[in-house]
Amino acid sequence: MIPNTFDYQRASSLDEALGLIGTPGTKVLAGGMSLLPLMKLRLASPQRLVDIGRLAELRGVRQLDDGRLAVGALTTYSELADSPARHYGLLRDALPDIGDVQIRNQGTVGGAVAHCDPASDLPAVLLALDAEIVARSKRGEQVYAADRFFTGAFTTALADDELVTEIRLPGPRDDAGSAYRALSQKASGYSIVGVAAVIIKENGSAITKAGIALTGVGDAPYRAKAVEAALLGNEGTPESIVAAAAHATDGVTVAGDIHADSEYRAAMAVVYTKRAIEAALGRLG
Amino acid sequence: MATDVQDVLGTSVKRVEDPRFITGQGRYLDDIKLTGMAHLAILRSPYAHANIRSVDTSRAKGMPGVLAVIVGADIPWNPLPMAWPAGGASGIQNNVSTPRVLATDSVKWTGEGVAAVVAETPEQAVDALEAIAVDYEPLPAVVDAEKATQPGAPQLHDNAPNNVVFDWTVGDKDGTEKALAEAEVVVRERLVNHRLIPNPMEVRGDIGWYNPGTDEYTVWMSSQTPHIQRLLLTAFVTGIPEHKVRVIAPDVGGAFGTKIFCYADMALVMWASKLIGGGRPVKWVESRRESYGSTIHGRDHITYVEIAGSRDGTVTGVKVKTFANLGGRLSTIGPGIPTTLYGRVLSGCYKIPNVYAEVTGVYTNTTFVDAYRGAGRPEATYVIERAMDLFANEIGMDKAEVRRKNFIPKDAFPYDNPSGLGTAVNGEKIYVDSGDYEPAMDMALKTAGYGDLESKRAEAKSRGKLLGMGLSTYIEVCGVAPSKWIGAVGEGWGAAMWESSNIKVHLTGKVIVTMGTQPQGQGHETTYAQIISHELGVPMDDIVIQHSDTQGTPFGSGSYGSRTSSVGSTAAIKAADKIRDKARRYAAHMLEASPDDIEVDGAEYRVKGSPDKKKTLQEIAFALDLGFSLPAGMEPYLDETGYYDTPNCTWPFGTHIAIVEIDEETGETDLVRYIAVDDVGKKINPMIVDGQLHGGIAQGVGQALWEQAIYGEDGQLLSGSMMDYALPRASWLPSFELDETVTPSPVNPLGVKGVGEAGCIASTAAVANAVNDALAPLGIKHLDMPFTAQTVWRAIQSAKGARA
Repeated sequence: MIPNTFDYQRASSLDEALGLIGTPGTKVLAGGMSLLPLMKLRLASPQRLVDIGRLAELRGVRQLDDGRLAVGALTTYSELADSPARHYGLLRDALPDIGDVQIRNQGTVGGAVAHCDPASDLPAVLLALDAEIVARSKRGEQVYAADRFFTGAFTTALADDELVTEIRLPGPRDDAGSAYRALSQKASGYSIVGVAAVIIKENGSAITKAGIALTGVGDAPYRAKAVEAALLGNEGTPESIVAAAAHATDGVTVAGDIHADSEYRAAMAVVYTKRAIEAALGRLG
Repeated sequence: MATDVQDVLGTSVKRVEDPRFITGQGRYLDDIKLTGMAHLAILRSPYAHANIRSVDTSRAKGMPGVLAVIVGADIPWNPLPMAWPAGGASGIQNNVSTPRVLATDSVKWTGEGVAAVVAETPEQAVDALEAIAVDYEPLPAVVDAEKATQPGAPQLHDNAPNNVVFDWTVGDKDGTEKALAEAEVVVRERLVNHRLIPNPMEVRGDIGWYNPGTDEYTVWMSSQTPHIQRLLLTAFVTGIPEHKVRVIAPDVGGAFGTKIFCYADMALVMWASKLIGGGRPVKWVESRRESYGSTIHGRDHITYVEIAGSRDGTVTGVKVKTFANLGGRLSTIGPGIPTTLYGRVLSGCYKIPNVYAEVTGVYTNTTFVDAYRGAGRPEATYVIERAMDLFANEIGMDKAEVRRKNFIPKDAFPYDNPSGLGTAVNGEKIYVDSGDYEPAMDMALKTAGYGDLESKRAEAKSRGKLLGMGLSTYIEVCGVAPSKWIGAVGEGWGAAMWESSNIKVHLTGKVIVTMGTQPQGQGHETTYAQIISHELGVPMDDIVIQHSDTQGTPFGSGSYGSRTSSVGSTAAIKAADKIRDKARRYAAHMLEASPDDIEVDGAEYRVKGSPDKKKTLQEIAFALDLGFSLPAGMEPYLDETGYYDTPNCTWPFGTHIAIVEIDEETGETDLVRYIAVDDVGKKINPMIVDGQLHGGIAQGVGQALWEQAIYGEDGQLLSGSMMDYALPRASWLPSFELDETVTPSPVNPLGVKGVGEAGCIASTAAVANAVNDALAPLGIKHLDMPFTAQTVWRAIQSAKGARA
């Protein structure tokens, strides 16, 4: 539990940070809740850490003029849970189950997004919400749609010289209901299956928009497009939910490990997709 | 008792240890920092089975801060001792292979130590490990004990054909086979009691210090058994004279059995300290991941059980065949756990006329297995309690009534098992001391609402849940053990099992009690002080309990096997008796009376009939310490030592009931209620007893529902960290509903039985029976633990598939 030797630099401004990252062997340290355990186990041995943890400019949640929420990358899980983001049902579900109190007080939203653990909860939430991920580099600002950002296990669309600075969530709306439901791996707390569901009924009874995203199931968190398509236009009857949820792993190579083999995981993806949709619809009233 | 000292025996006084433990003031092994201390790290085998062709340490020796690099061939000391062969006196062969201090020619599990680095800092030691090049010749591995005994299995040791350590039997073979042949009903099942990884909060560690000035060693270790370790390390491993070694156990942050044993690292830090010279101590502390391969595992039995009886519910015979996985080499008392501590209690609390068990101890390419909280008794309880349920289901009889019908009746104590389970190899009898099993069961059934089980089941079903209720009517053997029994070859570790206590009443009236037992969080400093306060009439605040250092404490076997409250406490009472007797004789001298005329009331020693002629214990101690006026033949000072060798073990019992709900769609299992009625005899401190039960129950539930050591076929430990090994968390458990009956043990003056292991002995079987009860309506006869969501879901799916 002792990491290899590494250099450490603390950035005192965003510009300074952008000047320090991007070289091979360099990793960005934010809350350290994922990176430091990997280093202690010597599964990761970066040569240099650039600590951005004290950049106040990247911390906190703002409501933009158009109603969207801008979440600074260094906002912790606890801070997010205490922000206006708590009005999103799926965040209210997901945040209290991430890690433990210490991890939620230290781990950052931007860190989770950039780390892209295939069983992490937050990427699924962002996918279902159609969130945007804002990155900065010396070259300028780049905005990624969530469903173009999470590209694989521990890999994202982020370029080597880019830093996640902000996550933008769509503004709250009365005609949307959302929920997050997860089956946890008991030891780690990571999701064997985690499903985020956002259901919108713009004109009364029929579903006009659905965002359904899964984590823990495949190589990376993903939008279950076939489930979303199957929900559109119907009213969310129990039968239609079951029929839609059956597509939860369409086109996905389902992962297996000692806790859940691919058969069980695929079956639970369907069950938990159903449960997340039911809960999201329930919140629509 | 004297008027101003409150009698605290039997009350829930707060633990005197807790202020230091819960404010971070405890002093554990890794808190000890000695001048000049160097640090040792151990290179561990990445292979489960391999020959070592060579070890190249040249590059590591040149690494920054490195003081020494050690390989197995450097150390001429003996392999570690194996102190408890299985049933040796009845001619049973034990094929023994134990670890060396560092492996020399081969490794038998992932995690076996191969080389070590001593460096100025822990970081430098760990870095240098990566520079050691070991040339391994990988060999095929086997991890399953039953498969390891089959033809063609990889062979671990030349002296153990088919990987068999021993074949041990107990009970009446002919009678049992006859009972099975003649029975109306015989139920057979294969039961797996899977492997567990113990996880005390504090991992193990040691510091070795060779003092060149005195040619003596001091070893600090996180241990349950400092005196025993000194004996084993000197007489059996190093050859260093026993009086040249001092062992100190600082505060110990939990152990659960893991810290009973003699480990290679203890000898290694001694060797390293002398090697680097300069009187520099050397510290080694395992990491949690390292611990999973360097500290013992628990359980791991594969058992074939046959239970026979008649349709009126009478059980007439139980036959058991168990493969006990003991790992790649034997730990200190590995063979004793699945034999004496398992086979001899297989009939549980039942009067079963014919019982026979065969146990095969097996080597596999896994971490060694030894005593883990309960040690054999949870495995036995699991077998008999599952068997009782299987039998009840087969004959269609209520599970509680089958138990009631077969309980040892309360007028049958002391009870001698007719199958000879309680007869040691030297003919010594071990009787079940006392018991009255029905009231505890009735109390638990009432609390659980057992009569409404079917309506509860229906209500849960309406919510998509399968509800099950499981009973475990357990007994356990506590207070190990009479030396005459445990000293019989194959019935113990060949050493005496008495305990000791020394009490000194100083000139100032303060009382210093030193004990041979060794706490690891149980609250000994509180409970012993309660006892001594009661015995001598001295307030608890004036008593200190000391332990944990071979220099200054009387010899003791340590704390394990739920023995401290019965064996250790009785030694303390014997010492107090001697103190009181001498104080009475001296009071007579002071008061110019006959000792027979002195009556003792707490700390007051009065002349009968003249109540104002009195002296306090403190006044007596003062005068005896000064020694200005001593009667002829009396020595100064109040300083007495008591020894106690228990005439029998003690036998707690009780009924635990688990109620579970299973999500039929996902297989997720929730423990929704847990009821425990325990009879642990009299209690010294009821709060501490409850704490032991709570922790033990949680630990046993953990085995049933979540915990599992998983090895790949190649011997890699797949559940190799807390990210993959699921320990129970408080939030996963309901509030336990505890109650009691009190049947004082006739074995010791306090009437206590012991409680350290009862919770986990009972609870695993209770939960397993509850889950199987919930699944029974689907036609599932038996499902093995742990009941992970996937395991339960798959069982439900296949049962539904089979019925479709």
